[in-house]
Amino acid sequence: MPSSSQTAETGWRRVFGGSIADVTAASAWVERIAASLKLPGKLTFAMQVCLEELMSNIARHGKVHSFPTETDADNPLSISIDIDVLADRIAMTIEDNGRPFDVEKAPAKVVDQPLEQVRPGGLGINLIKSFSHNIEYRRTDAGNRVTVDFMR
Amino acid sequence: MKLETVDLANGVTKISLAGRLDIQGALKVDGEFAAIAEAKKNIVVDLSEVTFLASLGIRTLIVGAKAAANNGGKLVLLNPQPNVESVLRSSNVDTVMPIINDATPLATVFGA
Repeated sequence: MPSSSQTAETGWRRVFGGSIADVTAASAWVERIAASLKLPGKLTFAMQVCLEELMSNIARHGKVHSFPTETDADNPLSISIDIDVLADRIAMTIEDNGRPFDVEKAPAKVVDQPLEQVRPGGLGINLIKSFSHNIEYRRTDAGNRVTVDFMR
Repeated sequence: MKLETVDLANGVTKISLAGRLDIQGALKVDGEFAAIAEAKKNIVVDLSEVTFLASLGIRTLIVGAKAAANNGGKLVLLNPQPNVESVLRSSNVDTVMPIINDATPLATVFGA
């Protein structure tokens, strides 16, 4: 769904799982859509950065347990992606059935210490916020919904 | 994701990466990259053939930079493509790993 009442000119939707291979497959899918829309390389790159960060967060942290459990097998991670083309922007909406995580409120961490004190990791939220024009989070009955907008 | 290593003059090692340094690429090269960084001191990471970078790839680079620093050396990033460079700079990674280009003399970078 677009993040506002503006009607989408055209749109795509696909459902992926929560594996690392799914992250790669989704990125290739978005790249094909961007190519068909003849989007500038910079915009395609920005969409892929945000998609990678959002999906890899879900893949790595979406389930409460680190290892598959009976519950996980009955209810595997499912990640749906909607790409909606609007007059002035592309809206990418990612919905998952993982545990709640409000990416909009999550702190945007950057490297702000000398190398010895830098802890590797945790830079993804800042990249999502830096490479999109707007981010909107909503908790859903099933899990999470995040819409990121990219101006055309 | 490909990784190649070559020893340059003055004890500098060049690691050339090629492909997408995304979550899959990072997981593929993490172990080898860290092992090289732990064994060497001064490292140039050639990013000119890296077409994509996100936070898991940055993690790989930071782990390597910390290992090089532990050996009393440093790790620098060579010739990133513009989109990759914007990922590095928006994360402030360039404050702990200098970004250099072909015109930068390595002797200046490493004091060799």
